[in-house]
Amino acid sequence: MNARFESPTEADFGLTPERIIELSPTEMYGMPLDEQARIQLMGARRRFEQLGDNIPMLGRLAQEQGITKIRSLEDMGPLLIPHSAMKSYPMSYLEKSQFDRLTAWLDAFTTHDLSALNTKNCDSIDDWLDVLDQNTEVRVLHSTGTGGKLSFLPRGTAEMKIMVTAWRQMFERFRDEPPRMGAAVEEAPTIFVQYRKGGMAQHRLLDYLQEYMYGGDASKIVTTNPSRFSADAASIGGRLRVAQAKGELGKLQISPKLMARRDAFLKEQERSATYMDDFFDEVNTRFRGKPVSIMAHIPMLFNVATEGLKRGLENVFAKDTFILAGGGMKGLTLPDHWPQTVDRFFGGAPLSDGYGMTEIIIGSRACPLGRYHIPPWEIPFLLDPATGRQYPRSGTQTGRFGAFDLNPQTYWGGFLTGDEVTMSWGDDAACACGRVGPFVHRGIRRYSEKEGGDDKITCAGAPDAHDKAIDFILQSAG
Amino acid sequence: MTMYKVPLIIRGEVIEDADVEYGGRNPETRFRTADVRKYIDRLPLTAPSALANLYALSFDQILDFLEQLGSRLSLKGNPHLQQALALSIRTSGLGEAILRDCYENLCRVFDRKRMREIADILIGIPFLEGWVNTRSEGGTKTYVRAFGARSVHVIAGNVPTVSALTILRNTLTRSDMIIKTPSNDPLTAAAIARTMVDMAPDHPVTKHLSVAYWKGGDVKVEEELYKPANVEKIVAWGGMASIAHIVKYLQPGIDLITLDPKLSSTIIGREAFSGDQRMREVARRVALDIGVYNQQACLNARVVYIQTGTGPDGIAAANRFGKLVYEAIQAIPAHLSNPVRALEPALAEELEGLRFAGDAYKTFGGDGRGGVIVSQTDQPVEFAPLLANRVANLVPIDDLNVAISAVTAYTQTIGIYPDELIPKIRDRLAFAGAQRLITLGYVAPSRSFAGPQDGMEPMRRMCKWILSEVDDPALAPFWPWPDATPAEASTEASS
Repeated sequence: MNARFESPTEADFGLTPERIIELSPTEMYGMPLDEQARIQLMGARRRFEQLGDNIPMLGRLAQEQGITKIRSLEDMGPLLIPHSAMKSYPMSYLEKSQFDRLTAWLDAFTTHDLSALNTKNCDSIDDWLDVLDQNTEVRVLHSTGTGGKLSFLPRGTAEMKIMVTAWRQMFERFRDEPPRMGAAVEEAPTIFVQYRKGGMAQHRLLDYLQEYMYGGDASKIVTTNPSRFSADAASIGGRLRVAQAKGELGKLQISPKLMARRDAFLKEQERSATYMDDFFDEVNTRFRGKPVSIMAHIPMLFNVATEGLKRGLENVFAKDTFILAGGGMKGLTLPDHWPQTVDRFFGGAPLSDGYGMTEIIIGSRACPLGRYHIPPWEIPFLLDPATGRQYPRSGTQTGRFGAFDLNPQTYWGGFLTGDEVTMSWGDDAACACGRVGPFVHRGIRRYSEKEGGDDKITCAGAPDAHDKAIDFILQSAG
Repeated sequence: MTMYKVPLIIRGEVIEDADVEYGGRNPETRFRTADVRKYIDRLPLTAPSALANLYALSFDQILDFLEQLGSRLSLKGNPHLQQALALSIRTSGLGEAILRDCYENLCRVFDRKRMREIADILIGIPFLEGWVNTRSEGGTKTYVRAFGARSVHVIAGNVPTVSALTILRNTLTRSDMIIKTPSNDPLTAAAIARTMVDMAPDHPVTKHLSVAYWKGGDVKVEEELYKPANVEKIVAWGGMASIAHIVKYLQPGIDLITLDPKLSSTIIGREAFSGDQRMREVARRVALDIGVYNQQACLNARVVYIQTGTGPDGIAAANRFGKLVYEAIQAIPAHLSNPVRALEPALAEELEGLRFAGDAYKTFGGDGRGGVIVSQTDQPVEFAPLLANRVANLVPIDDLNVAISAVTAYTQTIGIYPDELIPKIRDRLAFAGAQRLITLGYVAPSRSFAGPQDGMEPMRRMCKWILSEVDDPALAPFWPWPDATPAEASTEASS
């Protein structure tokens, strides 16, 4: 029994599945398969009992699916929320600044009671996020919106703290594998190649790392832009598209206040070059030659590397720096030489590759063999993309990936992605790295990528609206 | 499983190399064809003067040829069409019954009376046959003739009829045509061309038709092909998907005609909801507009504005109507429309998410059988451009202005009910950008090839319109010199 736990009850993760994440990687990925299955089933039942009556959306879903109890893990399959649900609110709520309605929509996804929230003075999504932060325990995470519409996930402060634990554990070693970073996670700074403030998962994480991992020391967080990433600027591209699809009338519905915000955001970004200078000064002065922890998207890494090299800076950080390069290419094409440019500036640290999503508390880093091992607190599912039928929980299967995160207790942790994934359940063949449990193979793709030849021509469709704000965001914010 | 072979046809010669493999992720849709790069020197028409042999034919002789071609385009006896059908069944989103019906009716594109009508209405046969004296005033006579051009057609593959229509238009205008087929239908145009070759390999029309598949964006082919020395007109269907590869070659001397992707919609006035019987009939009509061609064509209805009103009674009526429309879609005969195995993934994701939108939408169906999403306010779904596979969005409104304001330049067809409404709103619809206004239920274009498409006249644009002006100096003096007399002027003019 782990010394951290004071009683056998507490150490039974079936009863406290939110504590699995406190285990070291060696313990977590050393847990036998049958033990994992046992605590996962107990944990899933526990969450269903806790939350079934306290999250309206879950109650409706369970009723629709005729599920009153969880007898097996398969029973959780129909309760996985498709990721598109988190942006299912009508866009007109944003266009007409109906934040009371948006709040009511969000309320259905959380145990926290948002019915008394006063959104009368909210003119923008940024305002709305502030009001929620100031008056509730809900910390909404929003997406980048490059797809045209922001999704909103109502994480709670409790889960944010778990994120910090998860983040720290990511730097613990599995057995005798080399450490991810050449310094203790509390010592090395976290460098985020983007904005310091905002409502995306990374911005929120930075706030909580500062408070709970760095003991409040703000100097441990370094960003390329100290200002706030505006959710409204991100959302404007999507709203303009909708307005265009609706013709002239639609256009008028983007409130002048909002257009003013967007313009202000663009104007603010004119200062980004100065911020960038400050960033380079700071990292070069304080952290040259040292191991640091970097969070970025690849296009942003490339941008920063290019800017840094222009200023004559090379090999800035130690080789045992940790670089988490998540989020893919965001639809951008980089020149072929981008890896070399990135290496030359950053100092040659490898880009850590992982598989994760905003909905799940933390993603899985690739093992030395390039597999993404799913931790016991995350119950995986593979579904037939056309019929929704669950594939057998054994062997190796390819299908639509879903997962139930056992950590959250204020929102339902079950989500269905749009990803096609090949996963080995770890029963008939374990990964040679030694980790026990299911693992996902490289080569994940989205089902919504163009099917068929990319030379298909059809006469039905409509163009996308483009907007300077969205273009800017794509280019510089990742 | 056979891998399909797509022939390369260059002016009467069928090249059956199978050097390169193309197609989608699904192995069933992959095919082999020649490496067009090897033949790029032969693909364009060497000299424009080579069009002369088409001008040795009279218009009626051209009709004779096309009529004969039409008679050979019978699915039963034509192995090329049968092959095209077999591949289309795999690559197209249209069910076998629909495709079979399409292919069986391809010959109707070459019905003599219709072809003559198309040429007459859209261009005027005298202009095709000779110089037409359009003006005579004083000493000035003006003549105009419509000539064919050397053209490349980058065609759409969602409906097989596009191939037949393209070949028809081109032949009537006496143009030289290179058809670049898309990966979702590489065989239909080739099948028609092969039929031509089987029938009359040395006929001038056969000699001015080439059909090739290469991957859009292949620089080695396109850099050589898209030069004013080789090509005068490019007709590109499909919007940015096809044009992205073409724009960089545009220069003076190349005329680009785009047939852009379009979305279509529907406006149904309050009269439709005055009683159950009427609602049922209207539901069937709109179901047809949604369902024919499995909603794959630009002319299909997707967003349907219904003037039920947005109060509780109105929304209740809208929901009743939605159910009727869904049921009517299911009842459309198989040769016009069919369910699919699964929805397009992007649409499926959106529909899945919609279940969590609170009470903003009510959805009937929503799987491969189709679906009807009834907005519970006067807002359409944001993913309207993704609506496909017989999924439509009904939007209740109080005032028709809401529907009219939603029309843009990307709106092509608008089905309208009742007919009395058409003259009342069509001008405003045209101002907003709509291009084709129809009686509700009549979306399929069985009779409209003899009209404009997408707000323009493609056949007229495919021609080169040449002007000949003859001035008689005796009657229309022009010389600016004050001391010149008409006699002197005419001497000078003749030297």
